[in-house]
Amino acid sequence: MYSKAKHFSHIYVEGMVMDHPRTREVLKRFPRSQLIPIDDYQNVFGRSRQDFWRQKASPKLVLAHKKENLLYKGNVFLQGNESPNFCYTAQVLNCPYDCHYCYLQGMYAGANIVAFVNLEDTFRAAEEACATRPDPKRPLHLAISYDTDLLALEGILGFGRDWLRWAESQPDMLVEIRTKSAIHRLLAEFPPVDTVRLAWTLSPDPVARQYEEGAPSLDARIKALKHAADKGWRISICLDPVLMVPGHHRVYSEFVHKLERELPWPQVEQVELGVFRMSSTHFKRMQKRPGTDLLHYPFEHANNAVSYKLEERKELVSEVFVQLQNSISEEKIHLWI
Amino acid sequence: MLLVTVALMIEARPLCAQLGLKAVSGHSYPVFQNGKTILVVSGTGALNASASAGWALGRFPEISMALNIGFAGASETVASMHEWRYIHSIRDEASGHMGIPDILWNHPFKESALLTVGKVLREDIGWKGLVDMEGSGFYQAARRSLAPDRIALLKWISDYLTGEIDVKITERKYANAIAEIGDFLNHLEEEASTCAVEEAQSPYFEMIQQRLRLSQTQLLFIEKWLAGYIARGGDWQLVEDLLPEEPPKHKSGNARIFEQLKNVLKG
Repeated sequence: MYSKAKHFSHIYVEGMVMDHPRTREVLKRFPRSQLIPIDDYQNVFGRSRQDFWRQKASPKLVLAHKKENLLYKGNVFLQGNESPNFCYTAQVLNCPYDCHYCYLQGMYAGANIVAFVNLEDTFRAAEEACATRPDPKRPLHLAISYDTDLLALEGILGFGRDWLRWAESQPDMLVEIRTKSAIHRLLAEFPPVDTVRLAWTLSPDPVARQYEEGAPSLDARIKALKHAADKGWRISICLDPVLMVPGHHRVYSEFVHKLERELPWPQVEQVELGVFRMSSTHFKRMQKRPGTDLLHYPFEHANNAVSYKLEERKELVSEVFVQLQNSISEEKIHLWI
Repeated sequence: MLLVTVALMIEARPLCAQLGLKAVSGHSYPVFQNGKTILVVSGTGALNASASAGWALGRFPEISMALNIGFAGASETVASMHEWRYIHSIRDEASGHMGIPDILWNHPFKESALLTVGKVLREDIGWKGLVDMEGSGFYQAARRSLAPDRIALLKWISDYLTGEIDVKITERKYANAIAEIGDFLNHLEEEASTCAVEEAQSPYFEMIQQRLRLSQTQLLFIEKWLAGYIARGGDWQLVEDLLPEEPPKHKSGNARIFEQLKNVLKG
């Protein structure tokens, strides 16, 4: 009787979006959840002294209206920031997976998932940003799954479909959906969209099993990626973060060999390769995470950032980088060290 | 330790019987205690509830969970007479402030919102939840010390917002109702004990504290490094080898061992 409550046993809904069609759609999927009206999502999400990791065991869903900051510019910790046309959205805050290295646990006060249902406002903001993008010769690079895993939440929120439908009519956009999911249904239902690129984050199996709790196995992700490629979707991969795990030479060497054998390389548009790095502020909070060795490595703290020492970073990345060149040309590999 | 707060003695007596709590004299409030639970009778009103919860949390730092339990009113259309309701949100009528405890565990009760008012209601005001006079005060005070998943409010419908109750019948029915939730109360007691153990400092830290004379700042660093060392599976023997049987008499001796510990713990 007193076991952990199921995920989304409680759904908090801002009064402003109680009658929103997307709210009704989401609530239909959870007929047994307790619906709790709230004034503002910060009533739940922004409370002080929440226990992130206890909440993670039984996360709740918060449905809200995004009033401001519909688009964000890139920063030094994000990939894609080298393009002047890069921006990202945070239409959903927090992720269903529980990766030990994830910055979200240092960024947000709580582990509940907040979904802003007014996607249309973000669509409009993106269209405006696209019309005024700094480099009109290149598309607006819009990442929509940074502070979450949108495709992993597709069965719960259904936002992925709406983004794909919108992206179909946006010729000057490159919408990037980053995921660790093993999603098949959405891909089976939807024809490929030229302006959308699916970016799978892949990790060696021992890393995925130990440090990416709740996320699909490496094989499941590769299978989903291949399915997407077969159907003609644009794809890329992220080998990020590369971690200093015990036996990392062997672990990452076997991993890249596996990728060499199994990925549909001609269709892989680019590879993002980076080491663990984090803002010091987020890292400080993350270190309270119980039961992980990953965050207690003797990292280097410099310029408000936490990462491995420069020699370690070079060592970690260079081996993978060299091996990857057997499968993909150097200019398609973006390094983050 | 579990803190239980109630407004009235009539609400406290059956709880004392159920949990085996004994009166403890010499406190600012009526207090009843066993090894796992401390019960405080606050008096009516949000101000009293807030003051008593704040007092208890300050006076007994070992409290790791808090429960406010007791009577509430509700419209007949919202809840049945003498029914328990677990509170999922609390609205303070005076300030409009909303409090939300986290409910991370399954429980056997229906859930409701709670409105905390400043005076006894004698008519239905159209609120689709329960009404009491203490909930918001208790919650706000408890939140100053506890995470939202460590706070619970459990209310028992004593009237249909008429403002009147038959004391004898209510007392008897409430005592029966408390007996029926014995399992739930025991679960909370256990949960409070478990999280107290989780939050206790490690025995290693205790040992370092006893065998070295360190400043508060140095201790904070040791605690942080030690957590990482343990998480990385560090060898405790290496640390123990550095510790003297007794704290060095001179500051320089302590500082030297602190630096050695730092090198080992930080890796």
